[in-house]
Amino acid sequence: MTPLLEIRGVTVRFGAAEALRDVSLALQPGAALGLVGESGSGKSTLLRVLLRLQGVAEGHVLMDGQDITGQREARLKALRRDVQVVFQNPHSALNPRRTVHDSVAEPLQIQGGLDGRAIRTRVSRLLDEVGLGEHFLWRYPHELSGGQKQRVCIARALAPGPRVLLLDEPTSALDVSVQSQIIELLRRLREHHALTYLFISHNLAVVQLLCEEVAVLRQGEIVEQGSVEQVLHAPQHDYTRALLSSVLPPGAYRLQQGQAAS
Amino acid sequence: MSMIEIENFRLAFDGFEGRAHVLDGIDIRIEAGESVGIVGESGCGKSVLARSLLRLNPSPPARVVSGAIRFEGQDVLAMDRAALRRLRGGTIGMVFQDPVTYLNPVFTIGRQMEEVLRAHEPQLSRAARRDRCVELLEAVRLPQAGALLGRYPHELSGGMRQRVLIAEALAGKPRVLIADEPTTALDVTIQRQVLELIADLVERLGLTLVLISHDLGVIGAVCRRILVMYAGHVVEDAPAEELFRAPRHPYTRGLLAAMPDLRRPGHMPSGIPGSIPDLRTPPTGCRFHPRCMMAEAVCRATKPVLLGGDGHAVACHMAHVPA
Repeated sequence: MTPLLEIRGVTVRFGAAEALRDVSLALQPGAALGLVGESGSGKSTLLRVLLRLQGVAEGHVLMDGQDITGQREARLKALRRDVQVVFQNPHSALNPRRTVHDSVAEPLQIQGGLDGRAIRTRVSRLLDEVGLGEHFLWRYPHELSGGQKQRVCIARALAPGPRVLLLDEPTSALDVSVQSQIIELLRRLREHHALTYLFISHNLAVVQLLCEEVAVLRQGEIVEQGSVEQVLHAPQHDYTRALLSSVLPPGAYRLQQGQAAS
Repeated sequence: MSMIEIENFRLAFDGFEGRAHVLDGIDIRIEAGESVGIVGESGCGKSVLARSLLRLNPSPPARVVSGAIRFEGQDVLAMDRAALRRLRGGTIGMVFQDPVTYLNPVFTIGRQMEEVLRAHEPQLSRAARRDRCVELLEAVRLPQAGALLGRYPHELSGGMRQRVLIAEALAGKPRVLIADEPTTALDVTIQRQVLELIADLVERLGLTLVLISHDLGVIGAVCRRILVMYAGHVVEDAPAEELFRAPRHPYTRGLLAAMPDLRRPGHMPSGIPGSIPDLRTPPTGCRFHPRCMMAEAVCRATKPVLLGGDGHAVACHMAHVPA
């Protein structure tokens, strides 16, 4: 099967520092791939490379098997429609001066072909899909909770009818009681729309809930990749083991100095 | 006499759109040597409560409506400036969430630590101060402490910065350490190391610990007693093992059920329906009732009292009803 999105041998340099070193990653249609790693590991750079927002020093970016590495912006229409992003912080991802309707309608207006009435109908349906009623249409972001804002961001990402969602820590800024609602929503949407997910997270337990595959990124390199069962329950790489042993499960037990090493 | 006594403490914030009742009748006693975790979601009042212990909430907008806070019998709310200065950092050390914002980027680590020491021990000579700085940095397990004194914050990693702040919090030889989300800004591997350090310091120095976090995993790893807060109320107070094994408040049960658990693949955590209330117009009675599956008429009418003689207290009218 031709991967929907793929990077091959990508290296990104910021001055002397290598943010990504010879990274290859393929996103198969219908897959849900988790990308885990700590700050500075290159997760966000990788996301920007996929979106062609970040140039590469070496390597290639492919969409449906076609090399789009050097493609001019004007010819990236398919990429811009098919690949949408949901960011970590919903509070800064929405324009505070726009109503929910206007934020979700914008991608539809850019695409063209729909009149105001049709756009409004479509926005209502999108809101309904993310669990927000009609009465949210004319609200402003400050009137919404964090979870509601993230739902609006997801509705906006769905508006152009994408095939891929790049989810950059979409639940990290939310409370746990809301986090599970958003995970549930993302699982449902994936099924309904046959979406492909790239899910970036530092929370391995959340990755396990949403993904079938995981890639572990460390200092710009993928150190381990495989199925969720393999990587999270029978890790091969020392770094993956260290990550897993640092997860604090909900429960009472006393940490001892040096216990993490054992 | 308990080390820390909070009695029927009410605190409100006055804003343009009305008064928010952020802490509403808090009753907590903490004994010397306890390690207490305060857990709750955003807006539950846990940080405001921690800051209240040191009177760090700026007023206005904060306003103490009623109640008392006592430290070893002394009325914190009535302390003058000199007594407050001794309390802050001297008897109670505090560590905050974001190590970046609490270090001044234009001064070296040494200079910032010396400033703290000058405040607590003005009689120390320059050389003795430097020795103390090195000693403190070694206590938080920072290697090459001497060289570190000449470094600037941007040259340090997030975990190292948080260790520096813990060292500063220890500079006044406090007996109580309050840590407000000390690892939330850190990566998981670093989080674990910093929590291990805190647990170790508490043990070695015989500190009383108050740890604030939204993460029950963090709290459970360090604390022996857990207080659960919701919308300005303490809803449950129990030994850590008890709380995880047999939570009594519907909100605590909801929180536990919402946490994803790596050890349980295939188990989908459930969320808590609804969202936190607006504290300018809080729900009547039990503040959790609009989101509670078990709520009945009494929950809407009367605020439940924190009750439980066996060291496991819960503020819920329905606590006796099996879940």
